[in-house]
Amino acid sequence: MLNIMGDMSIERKMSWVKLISIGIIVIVLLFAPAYLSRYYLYLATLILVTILFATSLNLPLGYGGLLVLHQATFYGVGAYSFAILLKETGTPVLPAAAVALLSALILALFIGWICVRLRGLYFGFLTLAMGQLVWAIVYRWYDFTGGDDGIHAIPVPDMIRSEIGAYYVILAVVIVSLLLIYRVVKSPFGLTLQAVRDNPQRCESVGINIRNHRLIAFVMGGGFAGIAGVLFVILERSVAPPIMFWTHSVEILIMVLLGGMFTFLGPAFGAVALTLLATFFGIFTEYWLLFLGSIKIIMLLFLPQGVLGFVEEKITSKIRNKTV
Amino acid sequence: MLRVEKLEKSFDGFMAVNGVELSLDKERVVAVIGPNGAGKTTLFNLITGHLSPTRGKVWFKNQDITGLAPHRICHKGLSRSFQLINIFPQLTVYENVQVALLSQQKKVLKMLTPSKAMLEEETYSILEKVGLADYAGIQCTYLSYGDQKILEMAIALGNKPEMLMLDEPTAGMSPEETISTLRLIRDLAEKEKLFILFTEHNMNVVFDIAEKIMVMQQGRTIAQGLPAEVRADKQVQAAYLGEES
Amino acid sequence: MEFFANLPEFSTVISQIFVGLSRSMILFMVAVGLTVSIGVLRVINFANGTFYMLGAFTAWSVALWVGGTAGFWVALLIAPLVVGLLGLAVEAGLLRRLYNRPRLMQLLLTYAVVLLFNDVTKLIWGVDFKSMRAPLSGYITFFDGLLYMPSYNMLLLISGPLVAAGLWYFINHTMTGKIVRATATDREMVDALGLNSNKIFAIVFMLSCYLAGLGGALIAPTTNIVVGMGMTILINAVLVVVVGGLGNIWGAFLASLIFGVGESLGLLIAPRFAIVFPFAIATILLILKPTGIMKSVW
Repeated sequence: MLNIMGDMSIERKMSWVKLISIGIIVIVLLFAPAYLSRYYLYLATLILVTILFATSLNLPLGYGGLLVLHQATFYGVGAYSFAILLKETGTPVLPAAAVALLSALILALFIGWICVRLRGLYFGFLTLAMGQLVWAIVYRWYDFTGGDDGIHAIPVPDMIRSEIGAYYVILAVVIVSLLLIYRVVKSPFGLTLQAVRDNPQRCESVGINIRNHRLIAFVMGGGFAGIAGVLFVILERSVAPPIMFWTHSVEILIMVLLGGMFTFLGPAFGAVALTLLATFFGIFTEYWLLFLGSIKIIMLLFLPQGVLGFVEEKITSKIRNKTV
Repeated sequence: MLRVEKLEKSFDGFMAVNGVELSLDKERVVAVIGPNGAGKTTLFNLITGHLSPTRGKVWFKNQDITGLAPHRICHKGLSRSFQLINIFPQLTVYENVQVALLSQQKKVLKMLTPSKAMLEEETYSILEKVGLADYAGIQCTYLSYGDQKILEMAIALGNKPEMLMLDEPTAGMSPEETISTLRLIRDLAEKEKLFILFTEHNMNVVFDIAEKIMVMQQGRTIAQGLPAEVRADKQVQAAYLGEES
Repeated sequence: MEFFANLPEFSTVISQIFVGLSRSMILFMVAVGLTVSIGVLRVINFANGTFYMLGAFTAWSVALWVGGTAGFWVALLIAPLVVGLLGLAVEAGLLRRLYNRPRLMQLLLTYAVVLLFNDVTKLIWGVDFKSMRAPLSGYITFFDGLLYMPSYNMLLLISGPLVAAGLWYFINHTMTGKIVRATATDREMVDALGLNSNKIFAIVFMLSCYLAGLGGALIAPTTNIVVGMGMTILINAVLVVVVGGLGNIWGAFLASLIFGVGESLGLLIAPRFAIVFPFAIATILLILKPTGIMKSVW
């Protein structure tokens, strides 16, 4: 017999460790403007945006098992809608953000509705094709999107114009979004979504509409990516087509995979690590992609379940050894 | 309860199921037997909507369910298990059953309440019924093969079905496990008042617990009736003796 | 009636289609390498676009080194070989470890190779774009001026079917080709017969890199040779391969033609949005036939 009670107490200890470390992280984040220089504060803000972007992908990818190959589409559409509304129509920030979110959701609903009947890589390829279609239109529609020049000098209200203002707004939105995603992951919907990922056929025979489930996860992921896009505009005050080119999606995919896609914080970890790595190699050498490429190869080869996945596996196997 | 009329399924001209008739009304435990490739699993897939028949009808509780999607049929109270282990590998034993219950209670789209404590009692009551309650918190792939087969059944029970279809519930089990599984099946029929349709290749087992038996061969029904009648049937004897010699 | 007034002349349409066809031959060379490695190795090799880029850069260097018009022809011979050998090294060093990994992991690993080679390229050739001269200049006309196109594009137009035919001959009529086909269907069987499937994989991968390099060398005189060039053709090639049916050589050929003609017709209809057309075509075709217009191996 297994010692279930022992298992529980270790689990409880683990959750304490988790709580405390989250507390420390929150304090570190809250006081960041006090000890970070302007450049590093900007970097921290960029990382926050990337964390939300990567986590938005992990919802359909890690939890739903959908090979979304072009998540940057929704990020880009959120960013562009927000930018155009601010620049061309002078809409206030909140309604503009709401419309941007809505347009990301609608596009995700449209693309998702077409793609979810497909499986595995074929699903991924169609998202890739449709995402590139959207990219190409944005890239060439000079009158509306500014074409390959993008949109610059986007008027952002004073309150979020300063580095510190932008940092706190973005921090708040990212934390609320992450909490929401966490809630969803731990809800019956999230549990069922993981079941759909693990065994779609069996899900059908316990009465779950798997297409619906996948579509909802895909659309939610798209929505949160759209929010991340809006935050990106607040930070950069400019947008250009490369943010929705397919290579950007692959970069984010690598972050999710390296961090560990079956864990909630894995993608966030990947986003932090890779953004920092890119920045530091960028400072020291012109040829940072060379190092980044090699590091990615090494990590993917040796830690196929991601860094956090690897750590988690070590911990759970320790627990198992103790209890069995 | 269940009525199957002249059911046919052909794969590129090969008749996997050919004019099968079957009905469950008074008898609660019915077995479908036959050699490998006789069309038993195909018949199951046709009934539960995983395949759509070329011809024929399936009636469940006097409703035509032919060609409905599997998740719709399931919500009507017809639940099944699979021949090969078909569970949710990355979830715990508890969550495996919970998912089925959540689906049955139409709670799968709830997004903002934590799922952990939801339907805890019902989940444990099913786990206790099948004897897996002690393993609730374990990731299900760590269970033994026999226990995974039982979990398979527990998931099907999570849908609170009126009728349960079990595809080779004892396949690959040790003799002891087989006996306790069969006892479980009989209990479910008697205490929970479930209708159970199952396939099985072990003859002795079938004659012990089934109230009615259907024998299939090459997609056709060659005999149907009480265990004693089937045992005495010439065609059945020929089929099985033929296979053994 | 303004619309009709703006309608291009018939000969322009025809010529534009042929220029489109000639460019689609280059797309085909990258796509066919991709599709062959999918069919045989079961790996989607994102690095194929990078080998195309390396083909162009190597051709530029060789042509410069030899000099004169002969330079291009020598480069056309040497550059693909160099790229092919490099591919062989990548297969032995890295790809071989990937064959049993999940598909997504394979995709990302080959993408990491892309990053690596992009920077190696920057190290060797710098970040400025390069250009080289075509060995053939001028235009040729057919049918009383109904069809006119740059002579060099005529060369491209011929090269595509030659490559396709050569590949077809190799796969259907040589012993190695037969083993390649057998490996694609059942690797274990090939091993059981005492043939070395590792060697076959290496040959196939080298071949696919060779073709990508050939495409790069051929495109070099007509374009700016620059580090990002592999990424743009790669996404088109990936979609060509999916639309054509994964692993299907003729499917890749057909889909390349559709993309090329689609883009050049797009240039006539809405010049600005020409690059939209291949993606629109891919999207529509994939919605209609998700597994491709011809038979897919997966």
